[in-house]
Amino acid sequence: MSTVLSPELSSASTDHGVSQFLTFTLNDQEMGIEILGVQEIKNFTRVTPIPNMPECIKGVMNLRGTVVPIVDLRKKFNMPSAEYNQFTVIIVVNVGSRIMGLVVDAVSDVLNVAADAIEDAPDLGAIDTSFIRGLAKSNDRLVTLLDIEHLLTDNTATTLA
Amino acid sequence: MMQIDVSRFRAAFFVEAADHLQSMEAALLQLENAPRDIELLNTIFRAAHSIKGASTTFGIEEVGRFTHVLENLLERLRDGFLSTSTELVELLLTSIDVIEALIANARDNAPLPENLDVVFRELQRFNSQSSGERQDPMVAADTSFNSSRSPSTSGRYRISLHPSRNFFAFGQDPLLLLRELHELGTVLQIHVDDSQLPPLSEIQPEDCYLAWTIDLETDASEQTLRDVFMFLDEDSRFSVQAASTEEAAATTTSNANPLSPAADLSVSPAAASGFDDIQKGNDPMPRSSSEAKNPSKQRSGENETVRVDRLRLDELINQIGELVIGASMVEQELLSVAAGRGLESMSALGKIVRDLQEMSLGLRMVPIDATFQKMNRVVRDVAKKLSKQIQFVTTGDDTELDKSVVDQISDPLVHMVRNAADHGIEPPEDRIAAGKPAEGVVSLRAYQQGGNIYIELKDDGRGLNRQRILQKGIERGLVDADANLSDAEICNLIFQPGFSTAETVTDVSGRGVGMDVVRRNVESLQGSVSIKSIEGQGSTITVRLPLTLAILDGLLVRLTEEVFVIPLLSVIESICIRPSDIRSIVGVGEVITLRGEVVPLLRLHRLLNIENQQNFDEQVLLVIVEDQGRRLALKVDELLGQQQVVIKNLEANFRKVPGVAGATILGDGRVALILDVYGVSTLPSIDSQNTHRFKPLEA
Repeated sequence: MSTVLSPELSSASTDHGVSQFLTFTLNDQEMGIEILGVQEIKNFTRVTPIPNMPECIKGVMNLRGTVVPIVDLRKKFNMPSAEYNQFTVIIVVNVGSRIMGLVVDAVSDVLNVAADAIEDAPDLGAIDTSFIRGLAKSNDRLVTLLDIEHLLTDNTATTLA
Repeated sequence: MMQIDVSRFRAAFFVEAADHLQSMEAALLQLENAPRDIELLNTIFRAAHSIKGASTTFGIEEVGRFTHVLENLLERLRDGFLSTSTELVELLLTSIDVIEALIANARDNAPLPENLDVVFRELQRFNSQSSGERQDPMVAADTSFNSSRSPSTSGRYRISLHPSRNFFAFGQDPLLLLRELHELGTVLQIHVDDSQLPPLSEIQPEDCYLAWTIDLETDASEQTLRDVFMFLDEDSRFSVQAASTEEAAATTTSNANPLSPAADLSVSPAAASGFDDIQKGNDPMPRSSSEAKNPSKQRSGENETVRVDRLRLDELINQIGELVIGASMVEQELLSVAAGRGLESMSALGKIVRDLQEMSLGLRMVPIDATFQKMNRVVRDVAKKLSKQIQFVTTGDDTELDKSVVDQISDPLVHMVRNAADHGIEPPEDRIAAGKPAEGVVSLRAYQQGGNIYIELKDDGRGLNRQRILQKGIERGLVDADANLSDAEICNLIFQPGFSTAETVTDVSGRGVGMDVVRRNVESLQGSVSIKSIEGQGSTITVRLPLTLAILDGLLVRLTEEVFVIPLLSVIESICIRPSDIRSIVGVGEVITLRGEVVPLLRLHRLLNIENQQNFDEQVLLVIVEDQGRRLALKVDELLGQQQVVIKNLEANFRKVPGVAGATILGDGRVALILDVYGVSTLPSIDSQNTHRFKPLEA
């Protein structure tokens, strides 16, 4: 009945407020999403297109009997599209009660980030950065941490320059 | 003990209470025709008692208090102190509505029923009427529902309880019974008899060895005390004995077996509390003289059912659907390597899997009888209100339909039945004048034919007045004044929005919500509705519904590389034509001529924004579909076949997509979209040069 998970029970936030992020590449940029929201990672398979949808909606896929929409993150960020290759994967995420798939170039690793090592998203003026949770610096890497819920439920993010 | 999550049980209580109310209502309606049927009274009484007990447990005191008074009245009725009258049945039916409203109040904070006090007082009036000099102290003092009960003469009783060994196994708990007694009055003394208790080494922890004797001082009647024990299993024994004879005389008149002070302390419940208890333990199905359809039959069914969360059920059905796909994939792979005996075993397994799927889909099916029973009440109320004589007949009550279809058809059906009773059936004098029997007949029939369920509502009333409908249609601008309409077309005008034919708007129906709502509801269930009527002889409305919303008969078509499913229900035919047969209509669209009828052509590629590679075909393949009485020709690339598909909605993980009714998973694991024929025709064409938007029939 308790709503607050004790530290031992929570896999993502360990003793010192450290969160784990699954990192992936997208157009040579490194991004991360919180691992708690990740359900599984699948090889890219054929998706069924849905008519009259924004370009970033690739279509739907059968995930063990569930029809799951697939979002191409490159398209979502208006990046040039790339050929899908053997590294292209679909990260299946839970957004609220929904299941969605994200197409990314390749997954990298799992990154442990302490809460105080996350910097706020930079103010980019007119560009909406509300879907960016922050920037994580790890050694010489700079990883953009995405707020997946914001990204996939907020339609304004579709038109990111 | 009550620190556990009560809300879950409360939810279960609400569901159960609804069931009880329903069986009460059904029994009451039968009681009108069989006023002395003790079994019916017992059914009603038991249901009321269950509601009272459970609502008190969950702290829904309004329901408890109201039901208590109702129960007292029922008790008098059962014990013959009061005889069934139309007035009384009316009151009891209203009471059910009040309880329903009270429960809604507790559940969703719905407003309290307005007639609460009136009904409450009315119940009390009947109570005091029936008891003569004898008055239940709890009832006598109350005149308004909200006044607190005042204590009155209290009696002393010695109650003994000898639970059977396997008391717990029956789901009983002596502690609960003792608590209930405690709530009824003051326990003066309680004695535990542990003489049956074996040595510790021989104790069966699940057996009950103890017995109790309680001295209780209470205002409650002896019958109330007995009712505490009404659900004892047959091997358990109890007795209730008034401790003082003079008080006993004052409070136990209703008891069928007056106790002498010397009576044995232990009486079997059957002997003690009358007929209703005899059957309880060994026969959950009370026998009834009327065979056709009685609520008792249903009761026995209820005892054998398990309530399962709908989500879980859907998950199970989903998984089995996956199993089917998985199995067929294995089968195809075995075929490709010609695995001989492996293939044989696989096809055997495949059969089992398909049977399993069929069974799993059957899990969602429920008989329509409960819905039909509701209509009984509707007809009765209308008849009473308008002083009509109407006989209501149902057939095919055990026809099974998908639970969600049953849930959603109920409201439209109420509307139709009400219409039939209100507008259809004439007042007795008119009927006699027309040479018909004074009593009208409204009948509901359900039957299965192919993959569809048909519900037919028939009345022998005045039928539709074509002239008036046409006139009204013209008035409302639904048809042109000079239009030449067939009979069927005229009849179907009543399904147009804002159509109500009653000359006077009655209290019962005709509030502007009309048959168009019925049609929309039925069509949202992928069904259809039509009406036939002979003036002066009555009308028949036929509703066609799919057996289930979970599966759909589909025509698989190919558009370039994509497979789409067109619901077979709407498919009329498929034809091949030459491109030259397509006529362009001044830049707004294309049509073909099919046996003299002009049919709009929709290029699905354009509407669905799919690249079209076959622009210079010699032949054009068309699927002719019918939707809401209109024909459309859909251009496709190939027909792939007909298949039953399991419907998955897109909204679960995504959102509603215009022109798409849902998705399904094909045998090869691919997702195919199911076309919404109506929706697709309203899609804007991608090719702006050739935009043809069809105005929906009624925007």
